[in-house]
Amino acid sequence: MAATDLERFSSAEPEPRSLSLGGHVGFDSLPDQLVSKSVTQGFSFNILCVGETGIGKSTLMNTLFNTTFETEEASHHEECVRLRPQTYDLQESNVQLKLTIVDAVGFGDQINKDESYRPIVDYIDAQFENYLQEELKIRRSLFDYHDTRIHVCLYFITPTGHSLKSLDLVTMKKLDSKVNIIPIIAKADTISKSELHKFKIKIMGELVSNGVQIYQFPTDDEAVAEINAVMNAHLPFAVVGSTEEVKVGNKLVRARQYPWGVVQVENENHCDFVKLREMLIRVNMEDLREQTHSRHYELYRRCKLEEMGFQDSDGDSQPFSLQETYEAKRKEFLSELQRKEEEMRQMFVNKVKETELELKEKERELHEKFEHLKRLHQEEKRKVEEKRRELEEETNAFNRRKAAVEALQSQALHATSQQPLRKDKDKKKS
Amino acid sequence: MSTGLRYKSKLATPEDKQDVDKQYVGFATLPNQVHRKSVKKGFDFTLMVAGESGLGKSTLVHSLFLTDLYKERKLLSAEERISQTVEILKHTVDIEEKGVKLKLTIVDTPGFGDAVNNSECWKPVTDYVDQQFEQYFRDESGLNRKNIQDNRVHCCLYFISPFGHGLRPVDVGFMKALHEKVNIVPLIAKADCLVPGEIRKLKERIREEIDKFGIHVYQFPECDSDEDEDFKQQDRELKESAPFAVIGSNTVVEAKGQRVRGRLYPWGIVEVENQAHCDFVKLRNMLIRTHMHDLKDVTCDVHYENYRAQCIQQMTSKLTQDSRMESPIPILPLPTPDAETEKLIRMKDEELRRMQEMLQKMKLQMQDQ
Repeated sequence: MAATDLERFSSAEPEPRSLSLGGHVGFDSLPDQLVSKSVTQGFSFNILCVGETGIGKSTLMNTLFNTTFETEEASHHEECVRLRPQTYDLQESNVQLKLTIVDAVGFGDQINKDESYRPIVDYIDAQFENYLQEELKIRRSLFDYHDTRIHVCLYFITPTGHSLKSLDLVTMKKLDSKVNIIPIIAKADTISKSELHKFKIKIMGELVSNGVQIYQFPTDDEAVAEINAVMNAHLPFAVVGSTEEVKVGNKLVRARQYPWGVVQVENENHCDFVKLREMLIRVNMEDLREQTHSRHYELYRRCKLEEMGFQDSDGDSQPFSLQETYEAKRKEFLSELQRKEEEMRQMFVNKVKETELELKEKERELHEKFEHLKRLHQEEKRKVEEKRRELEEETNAFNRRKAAVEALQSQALHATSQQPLRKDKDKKKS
Repeated sequence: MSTGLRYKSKLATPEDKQDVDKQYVGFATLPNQVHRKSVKKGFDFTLMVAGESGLGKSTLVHSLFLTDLYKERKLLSAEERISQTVEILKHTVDIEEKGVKLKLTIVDTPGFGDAVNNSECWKPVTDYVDQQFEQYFRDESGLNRKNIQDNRVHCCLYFISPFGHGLRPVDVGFMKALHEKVNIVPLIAKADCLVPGEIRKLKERIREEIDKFGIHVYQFPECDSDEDEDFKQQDRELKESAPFAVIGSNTVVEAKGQRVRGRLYPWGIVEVENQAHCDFVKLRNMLIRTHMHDLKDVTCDVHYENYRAQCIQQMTSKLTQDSRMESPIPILPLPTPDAETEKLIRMKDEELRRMQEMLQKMKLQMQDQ
């Protein structure tokens, strides 16, 4: 039977048959092995608390984990929202928990809250990015990696009794695709029962009508389906936190003592704290981590990789290898760079040539001009020479005439002086 | 009512009939006459309530005056409020008690602090207050002053959220914008979420921050030294419990066999009028029974006069620049150039000198080249 079955399995790939076992094999201990492995490894859980300053975030954390996390009181006058992560190591029985509580300090205090959601979104994305980087490394150590991705966001709603605040709506819309949101009504001891019922309906109505996807407790696992379904109907949980103990009856319970009564934190009639603790820690903690990894992180990863240019392969092409694609991309990128370099070099050479030509032109022009000027100059010179000659000639002529005139004059004189002689001579003759 | 009794006790009761004709002049009945006339004339009071949505303002007003002023009120949903602007709504009611008529105006500021971006969200409020002052100013300076309507805001109840650690930036901004224009009475709203220790701490914190930011809230006047001890004690307690931590309620519940205004919780009943539970009674006494008139006086004598002085000063400085402009005030003397203009002149001189120096430098540079 075994051999033929094997043949059949190796040739085609039909739906595997389910066989029944003859006896106890023992692989039902697999979950236990997994559990013991994870217990030795330790768990990590990251909670993000978003809510107005003073709404009771730190007190609720203290109440939930039954310890005192040292946090200083925040001021109302912060310039902008900043995130303050603090990591604690807790242990219960033999289970180690690395708990990180991230506080959104200064949320809701500023006068202009347009950008309040941004630091929170950036922080969540940064944690995803860190994980993605670790995943993409060549030598990676995921089992050792301290997972800082936010597993759940507790959103604290102010108990106004009317509806959500505008800031709440805007922020939750930005966060619902990145993190599991569990909305909580804080300081619920200020709302009476009837008002609370109306308030819860109003809030859920507003969330649904605005398309905000809050975390739904999973109802597919039979063990917890029923209780989760019931709890889903009680969202958002109206909680009261307290670290002080008050004597009620003959026990010390965590409560708040008012002049008109005592609000007990763990009394289901007074508030939904027990439900929150049940859901958040005792039943669904692992599911929250899983959802963060399989839904929110995968969405982030897909968007990020698409941005970088990767694409999923089709069914019939070769199996997709990140490494190859990466190499191809790298080569492409380098060749692109080279091409650009060549281009630039060409451009440079061209420019040099052009400039050279221009310079030559200019030089030629200058030469021409020079020649031209030279010629002009020579012309001028010649003209001047001519003029000079003319002038000289004239002067010579003038001198000659002058000499002639003088000669004539002297002749004339001489003649007149001779004339009387001649006259005399004539007289003598006559 | 205690106030009624007080007045009555000061009324003249001529003891000796014999001395009546000789010594008793009769002007001791003046308080009676004032009382009578004021009853006939009726009173008016304008109260402004301001604070974020959901802090219980309308419930408190209802509890204070025991009338429902907000019958058809439309509450906006969160998405509608993202870019909400502040409106000013006035509700006026005439109420009467033992022959005394009161025309009460409540000025509501829906939308305050609701939007995501609340920069300058108090501007509509300051504009409204200034408008009322201006209106009164014009009426007062007009020719026919018989029936002046006084719409000036006499008191502003500012609701501080109890969910925080003290004042928020928007609270500080609002109070600083209005503290010189209106009497601000800060209140801690929804005080049923705070245990007594927390209330004390929060009040101290708020008082500190009010001092730190230099906000001038309404100060209760000192009581006369000839008042009785009881009254002085009350007054002291009043001053020490500011800002008042209040709780409001529209519903009447059954507590210890009595029907009281309160809120019903699974762990107990909060009684609004129980002094151990909250300061509602103190607020009501202060606002309505003892200090209402003082609030009006401070508004008239201090805030309005400040506004008027500022207004006149502005107008005179404008008059020196432009030609005679339309103003309700008769001719004013020309003032000497005030400090402002002199400063401006000096600044301009400086600028000219600097420009000249630069020009010189540039000339030198060009010469060198």
